[in-house]
Amino acid sequence: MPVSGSPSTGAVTLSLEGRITAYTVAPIWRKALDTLARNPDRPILVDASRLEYIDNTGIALIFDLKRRQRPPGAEVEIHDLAPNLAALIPAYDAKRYAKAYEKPEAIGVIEHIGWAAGQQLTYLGIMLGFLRNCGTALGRAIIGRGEVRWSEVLSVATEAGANAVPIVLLIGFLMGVIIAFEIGLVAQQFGAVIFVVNGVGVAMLRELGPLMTAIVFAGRTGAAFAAEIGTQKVNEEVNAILTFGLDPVYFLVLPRLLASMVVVPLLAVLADLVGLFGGALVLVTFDISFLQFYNQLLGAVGAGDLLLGVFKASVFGLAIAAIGCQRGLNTGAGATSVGLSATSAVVTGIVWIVVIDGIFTVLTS
Amino acid sequence: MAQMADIPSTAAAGARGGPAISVNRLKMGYGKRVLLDNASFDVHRGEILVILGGSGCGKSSLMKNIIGLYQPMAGDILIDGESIVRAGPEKKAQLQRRMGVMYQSGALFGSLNVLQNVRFPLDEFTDMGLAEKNLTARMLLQLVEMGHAEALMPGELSGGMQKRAGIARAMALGADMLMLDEPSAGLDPITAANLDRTIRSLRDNLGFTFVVVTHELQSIFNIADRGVMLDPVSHSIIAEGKPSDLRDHSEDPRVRQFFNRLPDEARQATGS
Ligand SMILES: Nc1ncnc2c1ncn2[C@@H]1O[C@H](COP(=O)(O)OP(=O)(O)OP(=O)(O)O)[C@@H](O)[C@H]1O
Ligand SMILES: [Mg+2]
Repeated sequence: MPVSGSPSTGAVTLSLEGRITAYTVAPIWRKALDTLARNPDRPILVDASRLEYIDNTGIALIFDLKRRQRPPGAEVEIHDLAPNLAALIPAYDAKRYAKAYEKPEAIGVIEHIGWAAGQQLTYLGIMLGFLRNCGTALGRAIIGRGEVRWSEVLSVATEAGANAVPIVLLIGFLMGVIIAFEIGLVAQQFGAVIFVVNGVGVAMLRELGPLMTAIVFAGRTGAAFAAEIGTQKVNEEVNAILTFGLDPVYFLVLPRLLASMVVVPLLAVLADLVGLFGGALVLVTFDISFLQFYNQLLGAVGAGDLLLGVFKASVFGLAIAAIGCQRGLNTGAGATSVGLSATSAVVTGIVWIVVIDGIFTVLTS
Repeated sequence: MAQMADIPSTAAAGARGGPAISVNRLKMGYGKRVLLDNASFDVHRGEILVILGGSGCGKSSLMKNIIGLYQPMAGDILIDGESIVRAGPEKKAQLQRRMGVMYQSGALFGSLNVLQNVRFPLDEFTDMGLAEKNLTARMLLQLVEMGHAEALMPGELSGGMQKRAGIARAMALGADMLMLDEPSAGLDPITAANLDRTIRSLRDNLGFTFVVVTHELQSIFNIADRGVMLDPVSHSIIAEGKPSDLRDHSEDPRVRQFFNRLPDEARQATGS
């Protein structure tokens, strides 16, 4: 883009030539603005006579040059712009483009923490209300006054339960192996290896079986619930359910709650079994036979321990499903918010698992 | 991360001669289901062509075939003389960048606000500075009367607003072939009329080529140079020509019914 100065009139001529498109406009635009900046008090003549073609970016360039506010006698003038192109420029009003893009106001760290805490408090209220709704729906289902969509329960149970068996088996087994090994090494120093069986038994049945299952369930299924329901919310399916006079809690949430309450304890029992098996395998290397392990185990843990674990798992399942569904129903607009809902379903789910586990420990000790 | 694509920058009207888009004996559909068979038509440079037909007859699908998202079952589609059907991935991307597309659903990026959506292609493919990109994007938004909504997220827009933002984004890279899937559906009559005016002005002043899917009769008569009408029963193009001619002189009762907006009984009554 040639630039020439004429000493007689003091004007600087910028000449726009050929084709200006999105792909070629950048250097031309920079050069033009540069010329304007370097000649603040000389008139600028833009010669557009040799312009062959411009696209929207080229139009923006010409508009940008024209709208510049310059002192009298140093204006920008466009010459010989083809009439078809000139016709496009007046559609834009320079005043509307005066303001720069406004960034959202940044807030400080302290303010942010306060804001987040406030959010959590309001959320607690929402969650309690939601749980009450779920409780009502669940109560009606249990006393047989509300109809339950059993086919839905079954399909959720299949996806959330049956399909999670391999991962639960793997993690349960590894947990058994790891704790048996860790306690075994310590116990060996005191010659009390046989009591490792007690440790593994109690830990698996009362704590690790349900806990690890619940964490897997939160990551797999809690997130899935939030994403599924969240997508339905975004697509206005939830609104469609509402306008049919149906209750989304009953329609979307109840089947998931029921399925989760049944499936998580079952998975936890599986985790218990393979965990004990893994522990027994490790203890063979500490010279404790399977038979010894079995006999010691019967003396160490009772049905109460197993039932406590199973009950706990059921509560975990309920909490994870409720949180996942609540996050899903609370989804805002757009794909991003579905992602946010899924993430927060997992995080909130895991926090609640730990809190509930703590409450159980206090109550049962 | 600007990559200066070595695209033969969008051709001005008549730069290369021949039709802008040429569809030859196209057969397309999904799986075993055929939607269109042996269809041929051209889109001339600087022309506004509308694709017509009942809901579900395959208009959006035809558009997606033209822009190379789906592989036709048979036949060929030439963009500026080059086949997009037989093109390799790189060539295909190059041809696709020459076309600006607005999808029926708007297809805005949910994580970007309106201004960022329109700026997105400029961010990706040009070296322009931020201020210049913002200015260009804002001017495009003004063309579609979305200037007031530049800071909103797509989830916060109405259906018609999403469409208009989609149109602005389709135009951002200066593609001279624009494919618009039902641009005026869901717009109020004034906004729709303004959009029609914008389309005509871009065509008249910059020589852009438009392929527009639309049902709005008003809009069809306002903007279209030619119409191509698809039929779901015979899987073929049943009419091609100037909309007012089709309305007034077509022999085909289905075409007259469409243009005169008659219910089915009326067609049977007028006989066929
Ligand atoms: N991805 C897909 N897979 C399978 N079939 C599809 C797909 N998309 C569309 N169809 C089918 O192809 C047919 C044509 O769909 P298309 O979206 O092209 O219709 P249209 O003419 O654009 O309709 P409308 O005016 O309602 O937008 C429909 O019957 C639809 O069922
Ligand atoms: Mg369509």
